[in-house]
Amino acid sequence: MDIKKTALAGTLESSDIQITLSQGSNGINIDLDSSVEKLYGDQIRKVITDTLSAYGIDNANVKAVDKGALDCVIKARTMAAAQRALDTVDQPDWEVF
Amino acid sequence: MQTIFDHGKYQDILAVLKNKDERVETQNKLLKENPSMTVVAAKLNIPGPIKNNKKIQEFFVTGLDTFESILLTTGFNFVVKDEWLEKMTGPERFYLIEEDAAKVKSTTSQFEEMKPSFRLFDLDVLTNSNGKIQTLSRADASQPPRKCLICGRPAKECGRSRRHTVEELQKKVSLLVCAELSYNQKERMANWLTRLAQQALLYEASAWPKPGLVDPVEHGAHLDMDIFTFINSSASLQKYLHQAALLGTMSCSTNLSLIFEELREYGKKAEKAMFTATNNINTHKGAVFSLGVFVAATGYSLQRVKRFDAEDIQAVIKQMMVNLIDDDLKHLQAKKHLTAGEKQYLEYGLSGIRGEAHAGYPTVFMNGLPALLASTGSWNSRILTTFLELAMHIEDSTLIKRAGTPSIQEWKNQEISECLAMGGISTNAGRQKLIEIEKEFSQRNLSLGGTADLLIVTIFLGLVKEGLPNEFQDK
Repeated sequence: MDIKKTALAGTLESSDIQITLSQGSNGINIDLDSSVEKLYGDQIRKVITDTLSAYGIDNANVKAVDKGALDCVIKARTMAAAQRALDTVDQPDWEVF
Repeated sequence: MQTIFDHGKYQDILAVLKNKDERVETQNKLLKENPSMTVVAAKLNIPGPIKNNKKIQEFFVTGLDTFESILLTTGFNFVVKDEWLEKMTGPERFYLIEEDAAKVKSTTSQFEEMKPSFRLFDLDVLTNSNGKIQTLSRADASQPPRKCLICGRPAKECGRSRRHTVEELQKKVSLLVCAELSYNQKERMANWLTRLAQQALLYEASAWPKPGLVDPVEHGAHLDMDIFTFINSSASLQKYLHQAALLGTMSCSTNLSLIFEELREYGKKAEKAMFTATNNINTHKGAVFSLGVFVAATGYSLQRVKRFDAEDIQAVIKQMMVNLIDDDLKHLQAKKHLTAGEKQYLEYGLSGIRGEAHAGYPTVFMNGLPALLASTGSWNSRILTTFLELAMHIEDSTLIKRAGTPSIQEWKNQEISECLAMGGISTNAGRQKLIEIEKEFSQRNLSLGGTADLLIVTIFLGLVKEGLPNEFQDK
């Protein structure tokens, strides 16, 4: 599935993550900014990629600013961003969550 | 084991995230409308699914009282712009502060570090710098990252790895919050006792007619002072009475004679404040001693037994006074300047207020307090009924000093008995007799200063017993 428009979800509050999705053509590219990057960078990238895949998104540029979010928060924020980018906000895909 | 997590609605991730969005929206709106001001967004870091209930809210509100007093004493002007005390995702409050963000950040840090429990507060400082909204981080204020509540590692690492269980975190948070709530309650109790002690001073001075004492109508026995001198004196003792109340409510020591020694140190300063307020007239020197003892002992007893228990208060006083006679009266021969009470001990063997205090104020507990509690009607008549009862049973060193002989007591008792036989203050004849006694005391320059001190402490006990709020009692 293709991204129709750039979309943002999440805040810069502590324990949150802000995800910005925009059109891309070369797979999932994640630009991650996190204070726990060294320890959890790979895990955060994996949660984002898996969540996008569940929506059938294979090409996207992702800007992620992490403020210590847990996996479930990363997933929820990525879902919200994906739905906004796909214009499907009205039909949340709870099975993904 | 006390817990603060016994009530409250479970919050899921989505509710928490939705709340974060709402918070950011509120913050941004405030900063756009007030671009030159700093915003402080105050909330709590409460781990686990329960994020708000009555106890959590009380902890939040009283904690922020402390933060606001830091702002007040720092001279930073603020307004509260929004407040979500009831929100199930946790209480929050938004301040607008007219001060540079970096300076505000140092006050929020000062607050968060003040006590272990304030570590649970999370006060974000936000600023609008040319349209761009920025949150000042701890690093911006050259502070190390927050540490984990449990192990002291960086909090973000433990949070991310879920190193500690929710139960473990809740247990620690409960401990911190419960300690703080109990401290707050003791502080409220101390403030309340201070207020009643000042009321007792003013009630005593206001009641009329009191033979040998100052009241708003008559002060013939004390030409150097009037009711206003007593108002000045009562106001000057606020700090001391608060110290006495804190001493009693906060102390966990069982060494009550040491507590009393500390009280006397505050008392010495209070006497100086009193003399400054009255132009060197002794209005309340005896009351500084006795009322201080009663306030401290009542606070000590209340926080232990959680109800009004006169016997327990008296037992506390006796323990406080255990060394009083030895310390004060056994070494008088060497002293150059003696007080009235000290002279009378040497001349007549009368131990006066010290004897009364050492015995645990039997006149107050056996005569004064029962009379006050049984009395009805206006405060004026209740106070005078109590006054007559006390005056009948006390060995008043001020009276003996003025008369120059202990035999004056027989005459005093005779006069009071006559007044009581006429029905006391509640009958016209009794009241008339009391006015006559007051005149005679004035003419002969006689005083009942010692009785006044006991009257003040009796009124204090009565106010405590009759007004004890539910929160200070075990039901």
